[in-house]
Amino acid sequence: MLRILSNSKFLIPAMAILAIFAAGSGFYISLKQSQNQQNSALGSSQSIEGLFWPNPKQIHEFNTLDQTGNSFGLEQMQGKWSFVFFGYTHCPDVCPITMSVMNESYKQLNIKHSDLQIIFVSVDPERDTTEKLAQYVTYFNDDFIGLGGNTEMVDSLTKQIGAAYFLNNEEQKENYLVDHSASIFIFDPKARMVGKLSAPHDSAKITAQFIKIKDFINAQY
Amino acid sequence: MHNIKLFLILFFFVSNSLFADENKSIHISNAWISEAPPNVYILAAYAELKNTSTETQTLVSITSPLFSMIEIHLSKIIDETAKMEKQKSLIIPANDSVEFAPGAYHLMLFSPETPMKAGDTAPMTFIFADGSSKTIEAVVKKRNNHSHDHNHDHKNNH
Ligand SMILES: [Cu+2]
Repeated sequence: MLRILSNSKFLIPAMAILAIFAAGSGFYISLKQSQNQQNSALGSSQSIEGLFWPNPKQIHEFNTLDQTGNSFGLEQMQGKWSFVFFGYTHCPDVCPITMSVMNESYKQLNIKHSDLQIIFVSVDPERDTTEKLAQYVTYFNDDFIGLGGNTEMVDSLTKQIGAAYFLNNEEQKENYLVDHSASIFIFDPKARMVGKLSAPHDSAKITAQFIKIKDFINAQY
Repeated sequence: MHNIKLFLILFFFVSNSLFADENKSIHISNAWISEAPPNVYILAAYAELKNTSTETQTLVSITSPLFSMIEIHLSKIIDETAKMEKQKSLIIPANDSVEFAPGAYHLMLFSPETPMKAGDTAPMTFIFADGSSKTIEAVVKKRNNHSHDHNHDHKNNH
């Protein structure tokens, strides 16, 4: 670079490039500043952990069955805020921990936020029949929704969300374990994935994060 | 049915006290089993194991007459994915303790004899590499909000 600059033949074009670059970055900085000013008025998006902004992910049509056997798709996500967690009923540790923590949070939130639904999606539909799902979710809370069906149905949702899972069922057919996402995904009433809460989960933290995210999204309209 | 269960438990305690060499340096406290939702046949149990001796103790297996099999597991979250890894054994260092806690080390209890409700108890025998063992009663409890990530470091606890 220095050698190029010392050569007068390249000096003028090089300076021109630098000038354009400098002007561009100046413009970028001023844009960033005005964005920050806007953000601080509405609560900065950077300060909210787990918020997907300005790029929330719009969810498209999917086709699963709920714990009563009714079909559950995009329409059932619209007009409500949703927490979505992926697991399996035979999971003895992480899933029941998350379900009971979500229940605590739901009980705190439900009083003011009646437009919130809690959804457990089974990534083990072969063992988790509709009946089992119903017993499982209602054990934690009668309001909770359990989704399943078959692999294709479950994948119509997991693939959009990017919630990968893996069945460790090569040898031990009966008591196999499943690797699954540990996060809680948050959807707004337009069925946009607007945030993700990472494990380990804590009910007070979930409650606080949800209120921050909801207030932020509502302020964007 | 109930008599069979009672017999199994009695036989278990008697046989353990007759044949096994009791491990006197391991203290097991707060042993509890998390109540499972209906028709779930894999449960988790938690406890704290304290080694009061100057020698390392290695937990190699756990048995209970009320479960078909018990495994030592470690829950891990790797790249936001929850996994469980079966452990062949677990080392409890000299004058130290190891905690089985939600979201961390836990005991996986397979296929209970009968469904277990909060308040029920189950005897569990912890067997160590030197052939010694320790039998305790674990109580079934419902999970509460305080059951998340209790993976503290006990090294500095006195
Ligand atoms: Cu496990």
